[in-house]
Amino acid sequence: MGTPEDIQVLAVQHRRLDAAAAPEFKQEVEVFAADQPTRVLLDLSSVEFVDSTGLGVLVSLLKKMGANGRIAVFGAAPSVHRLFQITRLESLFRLCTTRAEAENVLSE
Amino acid sequence: MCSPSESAICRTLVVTAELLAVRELAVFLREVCAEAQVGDCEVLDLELAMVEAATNVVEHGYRDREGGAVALQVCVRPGGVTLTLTDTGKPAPEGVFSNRTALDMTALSGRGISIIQACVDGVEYTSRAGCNRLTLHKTLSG
Repeated sequence: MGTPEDIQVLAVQHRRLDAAAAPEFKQEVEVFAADQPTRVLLDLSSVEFVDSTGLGVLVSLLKKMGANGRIAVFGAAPSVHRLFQITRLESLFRLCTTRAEAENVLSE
Repeated sequence: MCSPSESAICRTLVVTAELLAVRELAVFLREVCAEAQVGDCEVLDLELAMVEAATNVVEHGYRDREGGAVALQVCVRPGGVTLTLTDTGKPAPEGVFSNRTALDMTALSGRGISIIQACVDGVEYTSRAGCNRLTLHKTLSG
């Protein structure tokens, strides 16, 4: 079954979302956000590491989505989980184990 | 230099102060930790803290300067890991590593120091005669 039409998927292809990758990733996010998505499935299954710079770009996406914007994350590596935990951003980004779970979260 | 009487693994890598070189430091850190059989959870925290610190050195310490270098020493001893980052760039603002300030969760930047503080058990910073040294201590469990 495909993703519900009103949910947009952002599959991040950078292996490391760090300060070196941030400028390029920021541009990708700006292009993605131009469609004004309100519900985003963030696929981090190809990402091994995120630092505060990469996290800032993800936060910028959430801000662009406005007050009703929601992001559900799946495929996060242990280090990414740890970063979200330390920064308490688990409350803003819903971390899910599977894509199906993330879709369900966005459909609530 | 570590005392030969201690059971310790100490390794040092020096890289050019560039953002891509921070990735080399991360690889080096993981390799030393693997050699010393440091636990996965501790390695995660150490890598996070080190990357934040090294990125700060590149972006702030060597801003508008080319050709700088960053040295990372990784020392694993029974009970703990010590990371020492050394550079000759602009010193960090006084007290930046000891102050703890609340951060707006929706801020786009400024989380680096708090991440470092959360990931390690001790932070020391000195700047003398043009040499800046950040030392991060992580206690190892078990």
